[in-house]
Amino acid sequence: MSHRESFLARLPVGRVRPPPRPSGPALPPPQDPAGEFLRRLDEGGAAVHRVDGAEAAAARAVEIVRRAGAERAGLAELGPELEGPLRRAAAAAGLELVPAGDGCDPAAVEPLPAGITRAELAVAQTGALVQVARPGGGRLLSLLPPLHVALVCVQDLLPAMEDLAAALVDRSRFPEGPPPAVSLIGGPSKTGDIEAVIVLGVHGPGRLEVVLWG
Amino acid sequence: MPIEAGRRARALAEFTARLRALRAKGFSDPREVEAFRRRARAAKLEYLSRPGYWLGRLAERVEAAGGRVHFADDAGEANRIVLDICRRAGAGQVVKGKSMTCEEMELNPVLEAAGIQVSETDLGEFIVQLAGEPPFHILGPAMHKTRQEIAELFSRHFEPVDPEPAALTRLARKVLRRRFLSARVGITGVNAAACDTGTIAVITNEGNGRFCSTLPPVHIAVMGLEKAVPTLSDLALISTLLPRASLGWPLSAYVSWISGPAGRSAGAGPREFHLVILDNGRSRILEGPYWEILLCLRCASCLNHCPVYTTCGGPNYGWVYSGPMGAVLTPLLRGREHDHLAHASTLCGRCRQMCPMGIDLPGMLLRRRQEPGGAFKYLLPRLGAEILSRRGLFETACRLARPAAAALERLPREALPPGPWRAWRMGRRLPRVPRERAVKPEGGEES
Repeated sequence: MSHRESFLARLPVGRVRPPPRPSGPALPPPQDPAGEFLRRLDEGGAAVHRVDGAEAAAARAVEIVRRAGAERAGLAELGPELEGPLRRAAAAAGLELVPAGDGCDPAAVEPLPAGITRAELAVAQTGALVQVARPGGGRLLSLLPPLHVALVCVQDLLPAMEDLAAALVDRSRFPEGPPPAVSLIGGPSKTGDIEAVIVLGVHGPGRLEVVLWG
Repeated sequence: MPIEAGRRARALAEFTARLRALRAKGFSDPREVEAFRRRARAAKLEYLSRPGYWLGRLAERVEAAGGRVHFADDAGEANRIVLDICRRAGAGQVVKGKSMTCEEMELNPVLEAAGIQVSETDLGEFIVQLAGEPPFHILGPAMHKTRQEIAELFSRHFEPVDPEPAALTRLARKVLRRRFLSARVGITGVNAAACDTGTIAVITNEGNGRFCSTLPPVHIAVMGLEKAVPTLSDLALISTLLPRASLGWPLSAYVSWISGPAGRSAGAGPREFHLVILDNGRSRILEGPYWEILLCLRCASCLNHCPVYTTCGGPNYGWVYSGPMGAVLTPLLRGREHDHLAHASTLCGRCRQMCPMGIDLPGMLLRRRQEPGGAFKYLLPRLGAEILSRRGLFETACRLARPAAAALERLPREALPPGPWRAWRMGRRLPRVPRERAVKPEGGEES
């Protein structure tokens, strides 16, 4: 018997009797998913924006970065509907876009003043941006620069956490099963470890701006 | 158990009051709490009814995704496994997220003895590690330190810095950012694990857990075997229940669901992922009468609502786990010499009421008190009760106590032999036994 087998065999079977699983989710699904999503993120310390269409979302993202005083921003792969408008808006505003999606050297992403990413999915009830690990994704850009601008399409908004779990095991979305890393982001990086004073940006971005479009 | 005094007592009271207020604001509707509790308990109980089967599946899934799984019978074995991985990765330095399981294993001294520098990256843990102290509270490890003390500590180790939380945090960010980028290995704990998909959850508000599990080329996650749940849907439930219970928030700032190393399809992330699953006495707990403690999520609700914890603080519990949860868990993991912790409770029941898993903590503490072997502790109270209930005996005792107490009080304290009796005497004055009776017996004469 291998060490693993003896470890697992030692664990008792039937020591506790599980009750039947309660049916349905713990909370009713939100009435107004988009509103709930933005309200929760706002409570979590993010700044939230709601705009119509990809064009407006791209313009708002560029405006946020420029207003923060940055002249460069790292860019994850966002898909064609956003990338065209974003490049035009950036050129007009004098913002340099640096391709810095996942696969880049973290040391090259680290000095960037801002990162622009797209959340592949989002959860309304908990106010969660969901980033799925993929080449060109925003795993590093949502972590290293001090300002993170996240674009979310209203079509990618799921009502609740159990819907996210279901989406990740849905083979039509993820043919190879759940991705190796899924990051849920509920607000800027924060700590209360020194005299319980809330300080933002302890490790990750101190500023999170979320632009919901659709 | 000594009561904290002065500034530390105020800091402890304020900190726990703030956490209670957050919880009351965000997660107090009893129907809502009950709805979460029933679902979370059902998930966990399904796992605990067949833990061998589920852990086998967890390991299978993680390995199918390219990760490695290691089962450790005890702390020593887990430490050897972690050290071995660090050595093979050529790590001179590791970055580490807050993990009570690693503290239980006493992992840091093992790595340090092998010449590996361990950097705690949770800000509070980073501060207490620099100070060489144990964490004060599981959510606020350095809550007992003032900004001046922290500024002095940082100035000594790094560079001069203003005693302001924002400036101190900025400096810690700068120091730790360099270490995140250069460390070969990142070590984190595990808040929960889904067996059907082989996915672990690492939850932080600072983002240090995400750094440790993203930047270094090797990620080691260490979990106690009780942290598993059957499905990814259960993991989603626990991922939102934990911050609700701790802080009244529906989500922490960062939740990482990790199912394996980055691989070709991920772009960024570690090349190697190791999951270490620790028993260290947990399988024995499952077989005994205290198995319900294995449902604990380590949310700290029972600490923050406990009248004993909020006046005594974490270090007085003598080991890693504190509060009502620690009072049950420590004797189970460390041995019966910690049984006295069962008395660190007023049995007021707030811990059970606030527990997101509905664990019957006061019931378990009461059970521990009533166990055979604990009986000798009641010898003195029983003797007292006997004397108090017999008038003749009581009066004789008073007659004897009066000169004895006076003589003892005159004796210089330093003259006592060293030991618990002397320690007890150093901080106390014996009461004067009055000559007159407190209550005159009805119709009786004073003697």
